Amino acid sequence: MERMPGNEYGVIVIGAGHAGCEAALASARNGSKTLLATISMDSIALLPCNSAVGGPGRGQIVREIDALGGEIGKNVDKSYIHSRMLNISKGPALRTVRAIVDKKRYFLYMKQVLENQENLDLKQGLVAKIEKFGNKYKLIKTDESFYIGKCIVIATGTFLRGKIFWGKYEREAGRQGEINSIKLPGCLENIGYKFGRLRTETPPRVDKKTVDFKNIRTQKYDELPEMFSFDNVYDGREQLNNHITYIEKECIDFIVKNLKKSSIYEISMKSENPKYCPSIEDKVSRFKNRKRHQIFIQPEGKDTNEMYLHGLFTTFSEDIQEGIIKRIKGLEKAEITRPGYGVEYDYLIPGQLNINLESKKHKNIFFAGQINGTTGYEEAAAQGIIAGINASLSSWDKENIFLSREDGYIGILIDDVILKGVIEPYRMLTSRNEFRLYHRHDNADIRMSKILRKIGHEKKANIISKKYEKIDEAYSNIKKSKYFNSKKMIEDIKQDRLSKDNINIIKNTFNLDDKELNSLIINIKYEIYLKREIDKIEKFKTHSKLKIPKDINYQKIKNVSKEAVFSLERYHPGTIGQASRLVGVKPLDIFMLVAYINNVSRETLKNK
Amino acid sequence: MNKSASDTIAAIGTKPGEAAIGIIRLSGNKSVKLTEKIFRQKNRKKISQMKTFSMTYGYIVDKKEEMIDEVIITLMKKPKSYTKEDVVEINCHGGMAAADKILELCIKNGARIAEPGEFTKRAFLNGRIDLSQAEAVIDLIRSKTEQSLKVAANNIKGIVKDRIEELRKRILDVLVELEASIDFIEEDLEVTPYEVLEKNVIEIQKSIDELINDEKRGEIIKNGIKVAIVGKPNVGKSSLLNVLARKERAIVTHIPGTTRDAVEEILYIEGIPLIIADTAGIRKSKNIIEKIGVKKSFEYISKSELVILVMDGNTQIDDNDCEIVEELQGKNIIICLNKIDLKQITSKKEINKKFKLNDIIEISAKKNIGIDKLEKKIKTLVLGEEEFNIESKIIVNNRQKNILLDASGMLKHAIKAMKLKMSEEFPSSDLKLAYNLLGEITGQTTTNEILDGIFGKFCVGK
Ligand SMILES: Nc1nc2c(ncn2[C@@H]2O[C@H](COP(=O)(O)OP(=O)(O)OP(=O)(O)O)[C@@H](O)[C@H]2O)c(=O)[nH]1
Ligand SMILES: [Mg+2]
Repeated sequence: MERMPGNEYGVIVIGAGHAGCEAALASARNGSKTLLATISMDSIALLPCNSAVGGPGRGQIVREIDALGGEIGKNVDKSYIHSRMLNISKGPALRTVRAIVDKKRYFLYMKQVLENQENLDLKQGLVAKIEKFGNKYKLIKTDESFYIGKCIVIATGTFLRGKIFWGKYEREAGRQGEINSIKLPGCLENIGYKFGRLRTETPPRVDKKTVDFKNIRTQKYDELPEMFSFDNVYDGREQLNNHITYIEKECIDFIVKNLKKSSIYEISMKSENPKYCPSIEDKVSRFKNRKRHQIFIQPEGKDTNEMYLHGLFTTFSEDIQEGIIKRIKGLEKAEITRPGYGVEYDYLIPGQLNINLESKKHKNIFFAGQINGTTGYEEAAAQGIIAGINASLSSWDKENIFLSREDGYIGILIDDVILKGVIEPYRMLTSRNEFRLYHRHDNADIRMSKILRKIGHEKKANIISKKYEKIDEAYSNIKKSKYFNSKKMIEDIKQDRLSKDNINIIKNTFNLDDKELNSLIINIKYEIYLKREIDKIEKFKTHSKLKIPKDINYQKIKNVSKEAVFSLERYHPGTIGQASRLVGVKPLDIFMLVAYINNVSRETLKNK
Repeated sequence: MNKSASDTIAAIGTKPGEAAIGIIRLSGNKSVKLTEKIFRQKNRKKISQMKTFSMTYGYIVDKKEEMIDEVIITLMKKPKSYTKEDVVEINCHGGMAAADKILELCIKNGARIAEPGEFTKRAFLNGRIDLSQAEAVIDLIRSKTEQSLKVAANNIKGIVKDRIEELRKRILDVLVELEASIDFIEEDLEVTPYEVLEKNVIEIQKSIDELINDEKRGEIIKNGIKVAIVGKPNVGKSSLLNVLARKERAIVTHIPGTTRDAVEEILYIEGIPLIIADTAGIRKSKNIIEKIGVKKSFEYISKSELVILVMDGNTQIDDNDCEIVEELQGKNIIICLNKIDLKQITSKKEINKKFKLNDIIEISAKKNIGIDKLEKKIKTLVLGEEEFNIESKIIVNNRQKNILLDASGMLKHAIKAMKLKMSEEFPSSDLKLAYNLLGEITGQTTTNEILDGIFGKFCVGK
């Protein structure tokens, strides 16, 4: 650990949500003297909305974070109360874990990890101002005391100018019952950052004792759940079920009749109605033909009777929320313990960041998490770990790391939000990923290993490489029928009908465990489909190699559309690959751009 | 030779639908001077003194001042030309052979053969093409010949684009369903049954194949097809050419081995341009000249897309006939059983039995019997049974056709996976590729469209 005065740090992380926790841990674990500043010691790694982690796209993200040495996967494995493998009706490449965690325990376990982390100080304090301090930054708190940090990670989630609302009421708040942050966004605006406004909604919670589970469907957990972390196995714990009910005709009519009492109509808001995760009032008005809307009744923890009504996101006033619930099967007598509400908050327009999550404007200031316009704990944690690793590297004046699109979901996430921007909270989905058969759950470790090597975990990376060499060798030997005639076996794998005997033959011949076997089977089953993606990755790499000169004048290029020039000037992409993914940039513009760059370099060569 | 952007370049371009006219296009500093060297006209006016965008009539001559062809010259001076350079277009009307010779003369006089797309590349590099011609430019640069470039440029704006957009929309509709069921497995979605989606994909694939077929037929109508009349000596090949051409084009005598060098003619049958060749009768011969002729006949057979094999109904089938049939394996053939005005020694049935060939038409080239039937047969073989009206069809260019072929292949792959009830990610992978391929035709591709589709169609939450 560096020798620094007490209030001076290599890295300071502001905000102890999912992004902040991963950032602080990654930085401290990388050896930087790190401070994690939180508004309250009692609100660390909270799960204010749905307490589920994982699912399509997000489950893969958790695995990638785990492979990078992050905490979210391990913490879920410690605190889950219901876990299921999703997409089992699909092929093995798309299967992914989704777990519901015990909210209180999740918080407690994460706090313990933070408290016991070497190099890391966890302190309460509301940062109001960031100032330049030589080549460092001075973080001034509301009480005017301050910290000095070389690198800063801002991970303040939805707290910047947070406002909550239900019905016609609105209140300044980060979340229900928590203070928001007003001064920091003002300070950031003063030093040149631009913000937009986003919105999301939460559902009401009800008392378990008042729910009638008899006539509604049960959704069972998996008896033998798969863990998120590569290091963990099922510990035999008891799990809880979910239940499923529906909003049907009578209730829909009631909602339609009371539509005007939703904040959407009562309060003027700057943000757009989100298409994804819309409120129940929005769903009902947008999908008039739907006869029913599904509601999950999920436990919030083992030590509480509160149940979370997933699907019932709303900004209705409390009386209407009660009216809705009374009209839902199983909830006729249910008592609301806390009503749902909407949140509107400032987000940083993410185009102001580089793909290492560092600000384009200020060296050593990083932004991570929901502040960048994303939604979801997994998305936040993913940015947190990248920002944390990089802040730490920068604190040692070392070169930063980054993940590209072709590396995995985290790369896709960062590339998407920075280059495409967001108009509503960005959530990861497998459909966003053009390499989704290759970017899987099972191979997250090898995909992230190049980063491990860069941050000094050579040994761990070598172990991972060995594992995949073994799988690759088995694969090529099977294809060559080296040990047995495998033609039929390959066909059986493709048709999902490989016999137990043959499974054992393969496992024994190549000395594979179940996870390795699974990866091998996927390689065989998806062969040509995977090859397509891998070919595309190669093509991608050549595009990313094509660098755009820093001093390029886009105005000078003939025939590039106005929208494209606007985007290009705004984002200053570093490579042709990035340029091609900007909004408003069409293939033709790229073509002109490439021609221009080539021509320019030809001419400069001629003149030399 | 070192290629440079300052070279004067030349290439042949043939106007679509007018196979008989050849155009040689020149672009670059030397194009005017060069043309003056090979062009002669009565009033001896210099091309360099012509007004831009004007035409003049005269002859192209070779070194010995012998006339190659009569031509019309169009001059487009820089910078108001296609390439922003001096451009000369030589329109000759002697067909491809004359065009070839003229191009050769241009090269001899200092031009270089243009690379595919080079005219357009220059237009682009010289800053003439603007965004409205955008997508056409990409086409142009990707296309192989200057020719298909033109078609692409015309097509890309209009009907082809609309049609492709419609096909993409249909693929997108299927993708939206497949993707929704992967990403929102937990939601209570009302997704369309897999079998229905499979049917939709089959329909889309059919529509794409139709476009491909129309392209093939459109190509024939625009550029014609090569036909060879073959057979052993004296069966009436030259007579047949003459009756089809409605003029005495080839020499006819009763002496076997009359035709030595092949005789070419362009004629229209039912609106289809045929580049038809009457060839030397095929037999084993010791005569050197005849041998060369026979060798040429075989070359014509391999070059042509349709072969008309003539047999003499008044004589016995012999080894020569058999050998020729052997040679024609894998070709489109029509057999003309000629001289039916004389005594029938060989019958249609016999030929059918012996060679297992079906398209046999009885004719008399001399008495003009059965020729109308032959013409009908040619048409149906080339364009198919149904009426084909090129005006009412969407004709894609060669590059677009190749993309459509790839897309069709992808859809077939998807259909196979769906038939096997493989899960959604398999056909989805194929469909996305097909979707992106079609996007290459119109110049746009994004994944956001799929997501917008899902959000627009389904009611999905966290
Ligand atoms: N009666 C009759 N005589 C024909 C017919 N077609 C061609 N002939 C005669 O057959 C002889 C040969 O005709 P060509 O047209 O020169 O035959 P070819 O196949 O071109 O012969 P080569 O060029 O020598 O291979 C001529 O005397 C023609 O008049 C026909 O339909 N009926
Ligand atoms: Mg003849």
